[in-house]
Amino acid sequence: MAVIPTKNEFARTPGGVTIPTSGEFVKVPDGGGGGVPLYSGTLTLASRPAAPGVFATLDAPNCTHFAMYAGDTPDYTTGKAFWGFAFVEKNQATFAIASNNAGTGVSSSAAGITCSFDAQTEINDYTNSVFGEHSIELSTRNVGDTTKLPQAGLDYKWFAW
Amino acid sequence: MYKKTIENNYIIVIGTGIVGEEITETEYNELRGIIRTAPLAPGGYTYKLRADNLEWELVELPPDPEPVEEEATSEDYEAALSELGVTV
Repeated sequence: MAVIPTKNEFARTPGGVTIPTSGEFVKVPDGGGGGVPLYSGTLTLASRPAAPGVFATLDAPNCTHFAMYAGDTPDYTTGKAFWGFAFVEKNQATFAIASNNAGTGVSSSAAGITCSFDAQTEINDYTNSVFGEHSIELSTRNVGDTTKLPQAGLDYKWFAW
Repeated sequence: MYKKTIENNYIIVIGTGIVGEEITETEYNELRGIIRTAPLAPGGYTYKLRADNLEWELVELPPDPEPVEEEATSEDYEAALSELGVTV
């Protein structure tokens, strides 16, 4: 059972680490079930995107949600092994990415993603996702701020449903 | 099923469940090893992995575009007026 935080279930810890709060997760059945299709896989960027545009296309047809994290085991309560989390709903195109190494909480009010961040919340204008009939395209608009992009060399796990 | 995505003779991404060219687990592990030991690029540059010889090539990053402010919609104006207690 994959356990994925929902869009409103992020919180900023006193230490400046942005992680989802515990106990409030979406549970997605592995392999689908209950009418909930689930696609999953891994994704490792060979290098930092050198130009705006699509950097990965996920084979996940007709999905409406997407999540991605790096690390062997996401520990939502401590943020350990948890770098770069993205949660996206269809028609809310911008990633919400949280990282635990720089204390950077990122959400997108412009895209309608309302994460529970404090006043230090930043707007992530860097990464997009487009849900399609056959796939989900992940793209970046800018390449300058590496803290707001999926990082090269890290093994991300992704889920779509 | 392991795959790699190549664009302009550079390997962009490897993984499973992604759209791309199918590769063996052996090739995937080899590429993963190469990617994990990528050299550190100086500021303003990135290394890209050539697909033909699996060597790193230093590439200059373009500058970020200036942020473009979105035009306010009529709903935005109505919301702003509403916050000020103005009814229209």
